[in-house]
Amino acid sequence: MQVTKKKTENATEVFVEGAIDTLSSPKLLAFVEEIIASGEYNITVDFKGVDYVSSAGLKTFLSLSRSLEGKGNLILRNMNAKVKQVFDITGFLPLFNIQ
Amino acid sequence: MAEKTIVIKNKDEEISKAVELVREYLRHENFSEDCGCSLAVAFDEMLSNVIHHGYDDLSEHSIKITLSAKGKDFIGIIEDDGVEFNPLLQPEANTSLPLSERKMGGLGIHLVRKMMDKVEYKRIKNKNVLTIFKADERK
Repeated sequence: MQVTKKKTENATEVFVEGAIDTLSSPKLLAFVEEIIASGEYNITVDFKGVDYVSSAGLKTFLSLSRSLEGKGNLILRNMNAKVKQVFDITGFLPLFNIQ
Repeated sequence: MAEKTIVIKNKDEEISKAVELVREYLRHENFSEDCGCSLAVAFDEMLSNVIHHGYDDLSEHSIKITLSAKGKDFIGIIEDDGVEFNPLLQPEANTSLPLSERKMGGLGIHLVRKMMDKVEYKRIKNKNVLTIFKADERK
């Protein structure tokens, strides 16, 4: 998995390439937690390059959502149908701002 | 149809290696990329479950994965020598709780059950043997 960020006027955009799985999820969590620690509370994660997400990835987004609660917004965008299916069958779809 | 065997060690880094080899096999056997994504999730869940919860020592263990394809069906078998554990007997994950009350336990096997057509567990000669079945429109 490769992860990069881009600062825009209203948010920090995080671009993920590859799988968000058991091995890569801690890396993604640490990357975004560092952005939050620097005082950026509006974060958009772009899934355009994401191949698949396992429950370790869901755990990461649950954790990030809790870190940002009452401080800012977490937006998840550009998910492919298979990734959306993982969020759907675990009941995570209505819990997140997915665009 | 050709059968493929993969043996990995009980380390997280080995999961990605195994998933890549599973997908390579699926492409070779003309399964769709959609099917490949579902199986990538299933193998990530099942192997991480074995590696994180299957052993009560710190020793190195081998996990054997056997892949085969028959007609439209893909069959994957995972064998480990960890403590006896039937993931199919675990309570169903509650997928309707709000964010603040969500727990992660059970979500992995919930995903496997929903994304695969059939999952079977057997304890054979001190080994856990988990078998998954997934049908696909092969080209």
